[in-house]
Amino acid sequence: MNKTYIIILLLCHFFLSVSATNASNPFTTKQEKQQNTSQPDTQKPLIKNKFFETIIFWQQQLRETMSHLIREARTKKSLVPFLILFVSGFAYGVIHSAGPGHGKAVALSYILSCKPNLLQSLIFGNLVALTHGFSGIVFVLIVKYLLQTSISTSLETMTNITQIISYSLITCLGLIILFKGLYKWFKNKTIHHKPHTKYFTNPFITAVAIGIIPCPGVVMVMLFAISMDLTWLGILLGTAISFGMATTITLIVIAGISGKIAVLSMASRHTRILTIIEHMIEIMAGLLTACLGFILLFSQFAVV
Amino acid sequence: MKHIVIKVILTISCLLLISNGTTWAHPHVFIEQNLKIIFDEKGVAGFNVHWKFDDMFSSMICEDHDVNKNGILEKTEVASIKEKAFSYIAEFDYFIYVKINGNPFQVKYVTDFSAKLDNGKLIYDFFIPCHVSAVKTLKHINIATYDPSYYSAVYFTEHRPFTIVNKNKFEANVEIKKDKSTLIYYDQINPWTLFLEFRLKQ
Repeated sequence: MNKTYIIILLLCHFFLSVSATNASNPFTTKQEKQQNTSQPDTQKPLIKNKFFETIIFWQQQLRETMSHLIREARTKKSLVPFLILFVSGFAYGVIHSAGPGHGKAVALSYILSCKPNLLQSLIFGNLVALTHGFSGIVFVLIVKYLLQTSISTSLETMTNITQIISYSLITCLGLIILFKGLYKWFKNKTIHHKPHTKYFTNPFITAVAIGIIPCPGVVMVMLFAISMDLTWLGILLGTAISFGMATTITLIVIAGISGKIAVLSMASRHTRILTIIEHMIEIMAGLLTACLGFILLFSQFAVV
Repeated sequence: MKHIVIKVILTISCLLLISNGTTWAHPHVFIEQNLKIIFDEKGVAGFNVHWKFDDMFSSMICEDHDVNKNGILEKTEVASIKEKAFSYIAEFDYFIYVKINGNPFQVKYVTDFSAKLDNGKLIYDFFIPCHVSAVKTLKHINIATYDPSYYSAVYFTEHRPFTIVNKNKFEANVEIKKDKSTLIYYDQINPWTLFLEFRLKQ
């Protein structure tokens, strides 16, 4: 068994299998009580990893460091706190998006079902993360300086609206992938390895659809910087965080592509098996993307 | 051929697991906590919860509720915070999960809520009534604090994570450690829990 493949799968499992529940801030949003919230799981998990706990701790430490450095930047005129601040922001972005969410699952499902090359995959992964981060920056600037209204209420409203748009697009995307896969399956078309860009026509819209929901982490950093009268620093720090998130999501996307390539290359000697596997991957990815989008969309309306 | 089949099965199982994952929640709020265990004449009367929020979340709440931007939370501002940035977590049992002798005790309400700012950091204090009479044999109370929605991460403070008030009549031992019997955050973490055992002085 190819060790690299197993590692990739475990990474995928670790980063993606964990399920999040709701993006809303429980302090500022009225929510329906979730099932079993007061009865946590007592069964042994499939995979339990201390790294998960560690990344939460690191995030806390980095947030503390950033707030300390922002205060310091306000008083000192040295460049040193700024440099450390941007490195901390980047590291925070990397670790923050390594946790559950940030569209990794959807991005990976989409990548698995299409045929992008490495560069296209990099563009796709980066676009998802950068849109997610920059929408947080833009959101704060609009609400704070143009609308001059409640940040937390606006964030919830904005998040709800963008989630509905995003999840609707994800559902449609999944259905398109699914029907394309089924159509090819029934038409029994042969697989060609050359046209890797065939179905990856416009990654921009998809990436924007996935990433458009403002990142609350960036929103909070921006607000803190603004409260220190350092709006420009908030923008730069939000940018550093966004690039950090882009790095992680890019790595996940590359891992996904490597996994897919590993499967297909192993089966490449058997053309018929290769065809079936590729059809199956595409149909499964489409089906799961559509289901995921629909479930998320349904949960939004259930909350509303 | 055998390897290919195994890999396909693994890929599909991974995709199925991915499909179980949903959205964007992960800790965006970090809370340092210490608990004060209050005894009365009969035994445990309840717990005072002290939460100190991180700078970022504090600034978000201040932006909306410190209306006059003076860095001090006045009565009306505290009332606004209580209504719009605290009461909603009642749906999550105020993030406090109590077990008395192994049986769940649901936190349905809290009293004496207050909010203040300490050097820009938001602080909440509130009391959870939980009457448990002491007897000659040991009684056990476990208090785990976590946000099941995963939006907030709650930690005990390193320095004095708990205090006990009025324990003269009782023998009480407190330990803070991970509750190995409970799993949270997608079955990845055992929550830090305060384990209290107490009885009447012999």
